[in-house]
Amino acid sequence: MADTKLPASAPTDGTPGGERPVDGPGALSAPAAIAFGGDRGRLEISARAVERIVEITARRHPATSRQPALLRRGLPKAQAVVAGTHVRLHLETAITWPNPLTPTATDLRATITEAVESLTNLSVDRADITITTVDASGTEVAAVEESSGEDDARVVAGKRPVGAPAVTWVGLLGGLGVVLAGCWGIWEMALGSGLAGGGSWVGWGLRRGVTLDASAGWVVPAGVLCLLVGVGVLGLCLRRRRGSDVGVGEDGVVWVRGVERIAVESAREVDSVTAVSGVRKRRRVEVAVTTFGAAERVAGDVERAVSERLKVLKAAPRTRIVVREE
Amino acid sequence: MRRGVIALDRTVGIVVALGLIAAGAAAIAWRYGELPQAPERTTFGPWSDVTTAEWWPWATGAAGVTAILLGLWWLARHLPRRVDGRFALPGGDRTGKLTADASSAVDAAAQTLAHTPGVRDGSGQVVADRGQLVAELTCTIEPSADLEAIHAAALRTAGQLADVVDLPNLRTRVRLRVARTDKATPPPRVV
Repeated sequence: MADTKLPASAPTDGTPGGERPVDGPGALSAPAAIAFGGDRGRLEISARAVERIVEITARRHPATSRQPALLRRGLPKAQAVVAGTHVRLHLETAITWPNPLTPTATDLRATITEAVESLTNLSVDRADITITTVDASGTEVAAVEESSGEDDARVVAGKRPVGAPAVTWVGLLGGLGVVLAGCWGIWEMALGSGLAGGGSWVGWGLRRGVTLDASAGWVVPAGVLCLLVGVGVLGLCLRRRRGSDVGVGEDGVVWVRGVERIAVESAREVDSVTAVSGVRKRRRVEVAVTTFGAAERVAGDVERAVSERLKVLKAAPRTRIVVREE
Repeated sequence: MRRGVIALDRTVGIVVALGLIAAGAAAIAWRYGELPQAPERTTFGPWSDVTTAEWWPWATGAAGVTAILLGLWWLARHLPRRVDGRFALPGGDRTGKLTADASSAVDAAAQTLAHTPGVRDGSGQVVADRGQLVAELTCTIEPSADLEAIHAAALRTAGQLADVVDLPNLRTRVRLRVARTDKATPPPRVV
C-alpha cells in the first residue's frame, strides 16, 4: 500500500453523479476505493469490507452487546461510504448496562476509526455512533446492590405524578362537537348542491324564525339546566389535578400506587384473621378484617402491622380497621 | 398530555361555562320579570333563505371541512405525547456525532430494578411531563414486598441511570404499582 494512487474518481458501478445518502437506513454502498499498484495489479477496498471491519471491531469492544438479527436488525451494524481515500462511517450498536453512554460512544468512535485507518489506510473523515439499545439481560441483582450511595445525590426527582386533568373531558367533548358540526356543514353542502335529497334544517329555521315567550313553560327548566351545566363545566375547568400516587421516602423519586393492597397483605398475616378486604379513600385506607379471635386484639395487631408496613411512605394515609367477628 | 391543549380546553370550557351560566340566569330573570327592559314576547326572523344561494354549498362545504379538521386536530392533541428517546450526546463534533436512545437505557434500568426481590417486572421510557423530561421507571411489586428495600434499590438504580445517561435536564421518577395478588412464595406459617 506504499505507493498507491487512489483516484478521487466517479463511481465504478455506473451510478450517475455518485451522489448517495451518507448514512441512514437507505444508504447504499459507496464506490470502492481502488489502489493501483502498477504492473502488480490493483487493490479494491469495497465499502462492505470497511463495514465488516467496523462491525467486528465494535463487537470486540467490552461494552458492546451483540444483538441477533432474528426479529430485528442485528447489532452492531455499520454503514460506510468510501470516496477515494476517505471514508465516512456510521455505527449503530447496543451496549450493556450499566456502561455510561457518552464515554462508551466516544471510545467506540476512537476504536473503529483507528481500526479502519490502520487496516485499510483510508482516512476516516467522520464516524457517527448511535447507541440504539442498552441491554440489561446480563444484569443480576448484584449490579444494583454493588452501586454506591454516592450515585443517589445525582438523581433529580421529577414532579409528583398526577392523574389526567378533569378538563380533558371538556376538550374531548368539544373536539367531538366541532367534528359533528363539520359533518353537519358537509351535509348542508350535499343538500345545497343536490348530491343528497331532503330539506335543509338551516333553511327551515331561517324561513320560520324564532319566537320566545317569557311565560313559556320551558324557560325556567332550560335556564336551570343551563345554570347547572355551566357550573359543572366551570367546576371541571377549575379543578386541580389530583396526585395519583403516594411518595415513598423523602426524596420524591419513588412513588407507589395501590397502598391499600399492601395494607391488606399486612393484615392477612395477622393471626386469627380469616378474610381481609381493603379500599383506599382520598386520604384514608379502610381495612375490613374477618376474624375468629378477640376483636380488640386483632384490631390492634392489624393496625400495628399496617402501620409498620406503611411507615416508609412520606405521607402515610390514615388507617381505619373494621373488624367483623365470625 | 401537552400543557397547551390543557390550557385550550380550560379556556374553551370557561368561556362555554360562563356563557351557559349567563344564559341560564338571564332566562330565569326574564321569566320572573327581573329584566324590566326586556319584552314579554320577542320574535327573531324570519330571514331570507340563503340556502338556495349559489355560494351556500361552497361556504358550508369549506366550513364543514375546516371544522372537521379542527376537531380532529383538537382530539388528536389529547393523545399521550410520545417522546423520541434519542438524544445527542455531548462529545459530538466534526469527527462524528454521538447519539443514544435514552429510553432504552431507562428501560434497562427498570429491568435491572426488576431483579430486586419483591419486584415482579419493570419497564421504562422517557416521558414529557409538565415541562420536564422525565426518565420514568414503572415497576409492578408484590403486595408483600419490602417497600424500604425496594425504595433503596430504586434509588441506587436511579443513581446508576443518572451516571449512564448523564443528561443534565433529565429528571427521574420510579413508579411502583402494587399487584392485586401476591405471586411471591407465601411464608411458612407456624401454627
